[in-house]
Formats: sequence, C-alpha cells, structure tokens
Amino acid sequence: MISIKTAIWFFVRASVVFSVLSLPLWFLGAPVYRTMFGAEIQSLTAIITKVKPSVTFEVEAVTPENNSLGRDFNITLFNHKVHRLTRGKTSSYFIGFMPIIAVVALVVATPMPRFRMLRSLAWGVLWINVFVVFRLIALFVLLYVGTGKTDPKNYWENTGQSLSTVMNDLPTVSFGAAIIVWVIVVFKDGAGRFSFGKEERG
Amino acid sequence: MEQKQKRPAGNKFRAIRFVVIFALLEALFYVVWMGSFFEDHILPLYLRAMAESCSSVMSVFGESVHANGDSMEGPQFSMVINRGCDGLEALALYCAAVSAFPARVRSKLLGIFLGAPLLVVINFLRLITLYYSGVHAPSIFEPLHLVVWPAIIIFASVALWILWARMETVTPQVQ
Repeated sequence: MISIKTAIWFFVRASVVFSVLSLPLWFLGAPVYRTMFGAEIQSLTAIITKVKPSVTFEVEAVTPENNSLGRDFNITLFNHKVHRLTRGKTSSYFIGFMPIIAVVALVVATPMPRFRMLRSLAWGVLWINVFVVFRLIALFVLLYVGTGKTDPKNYWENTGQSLSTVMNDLPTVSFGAAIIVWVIVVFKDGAGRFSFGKEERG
Repeated sequence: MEQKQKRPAGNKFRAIRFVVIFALLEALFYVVWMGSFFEDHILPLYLRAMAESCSSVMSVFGESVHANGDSMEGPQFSMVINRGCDGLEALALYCAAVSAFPARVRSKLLGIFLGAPLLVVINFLRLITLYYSGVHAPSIFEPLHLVVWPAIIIFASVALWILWARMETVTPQVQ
C-alpha cells in the first residue's frame, strides 16, 4: 500500500521539477519555447485561412506588460465578409509552456520504471500539446464570434467572455488538463491497458 | 517462468469513466464559480473570511496586519485576495477527482472531509508566504504568486488524491 511518505515524496518531487523547469523561463523570457509557440500559432492561422479564406490573421509577438499574465502574443482577426476585426492576446507561458511542464513534473514524480516513464513523457507531451492547440482554436473561435453581430441580451458575448477567462486567464486550468493527461498516460500497464481498478495485495 | 497477470475487464471503462466524470465535474465547478450568483454572493464572503483568518494568524505572530474586506493591509504592504487565489480550484479539483473515482460513497465523503481542510490550510500558508514575500522580497512575489504556489497547491491536491485512491483500491488478499 502506498505510504504517506511516498505521497509526500511525489508532491515534493513534482513541485521541485515544476519550479526548476519554470523559473528559468520566468526570468529569461523563454526564447526557445516562445519561438515554437509562435510557429504553432502561425501554422494554425494559416490552416484556418486556407479553410476559410474570408478570415485573415495578424500575429505579433510583444513584450508582456506587468500584471498581464505574461501575454506575449497579440492576435488580430479580420473578418472580410462583415468588414470587422477583433483583437485577442495569449501567453506562450501560461497557455503553452505551463501545462507541458506540469505534465512533465507529474510524470517524473510518479514512481515507475525508467522506460515506462520515458514512454509516458512522450505520450504526455504529445497529448498536452493537443490541449494547447485546442486552447488556441478556442481563442480563434471566440475572436471570430466577436466579429459577428451581437445578440441583444449579450448572451454569447458573456458566455464567450467567461470561456475566454477560463481558457486564457486561469493558470489552474492548465493543471487540470495536465492531470487528465497524466492519468491517461500513467495509469496504463505495459500492454497499453489501463490499470485503474481494484488491485489485490499479494 | 513468467506469468501473465490478468486484469479486470472493466479497467479501461473505469479509467475512461473517471476521466469523463472528472472533466464534467470540473466543468460544472467552473460554470458555478464563474457565475454571477457565486461571484456576487458567496465569493466575497469566502474571500473576506480568508483575509480575516490570515490576518488573525499573522497578528498572533506579531505582524500588524488587518483585514479590510478581501484585502490584507499592513504598514509596508497590502494585497487583495482575488478569485484564483482562493484555493477553491485546487479544492474542486481534489473533490472532483475523489468523487469521480470508483469507490464507496462513504469512503469518498471521508476522503473529502479529511482532504479538504488540509488544502484550505495549504492555501492559508500560500497567502501568508505571499504577504511576507511582498514585504521582504518583492522581486519573488510574482513568480511565487503565478508559478510556484499554484503548482504547489495543485500538486498537493493530486498527492492527497493519490494517497486516498491507493488506500481505497488496495484491498487485502484473502488467505
């Protein structure tokens, strides 16, 4: 049976790995991941423009202002059909990097054989990137909805605003997604099956 | 000789059910938490209680801090406790994980009643250390506020959940 010591060890290891991975980024501005994140946004906007030619984007990397939750990308969406534009901001750190290092920290802190850990890390990083892409697409959808006609009761505007807050402003959402990915990639046995049910101690 | 261990057939279903219920409960939490009723009527009371409790604890240790609504004010530094610093997300995450896990209702309730106060205490520590960092080391306030403490409180809730879940799932073998 797992002991309190193991649980505390998991917690300490996860916190330390996460802090170590995040602090250099916080102080140095993370040029490498920021470039990758920018490329991800450019690729997604290119695909969207290809599918929907009436929509074009302008993506600009900026230095984040104080208390802006590290938002370092300005995105402008032009809807040529209705001749309107909307602007949004996103953060390479909170939207992209944070969930990735959260998954890495959770996987590394889980006691398991090295090969299985490496495999879980690979799958975990892959799945969490799917979540990052989903977050960006959600932002683009909100920007697109913003160019349309607003309804009199502001229902969609309010819903969109709340969704935007959840997806873009709350750091803990990144952790929630990281935990789901961690459960999926770690609670699998060697044969690729989930081992999540009642276990017997023998 | 190597023996293949047979696992229960429903394991995959149980894991998927866990992930789905967990995600739904989390979504439900965010709907309620972001809702105007919660924001206008419940959250201010909770934040005020947090500010008052933290200020009282710090006063015991000789700090001249007092609560003013949802803010903690001292001679050198003041900070407002906002949504997101309330620890409710970590609490909800733990409760959602415990509720979604395949276990007996009594065991789930026990897990929630034992684990939730611990997470509230950790959030207390978070607010107190943030206040002290604001007074004594303002340069580390932002990294602590936005990076280190959110991670610590979330990982603490995961560690608590693992502890509870393993205690719940490992059953003694009948001799």
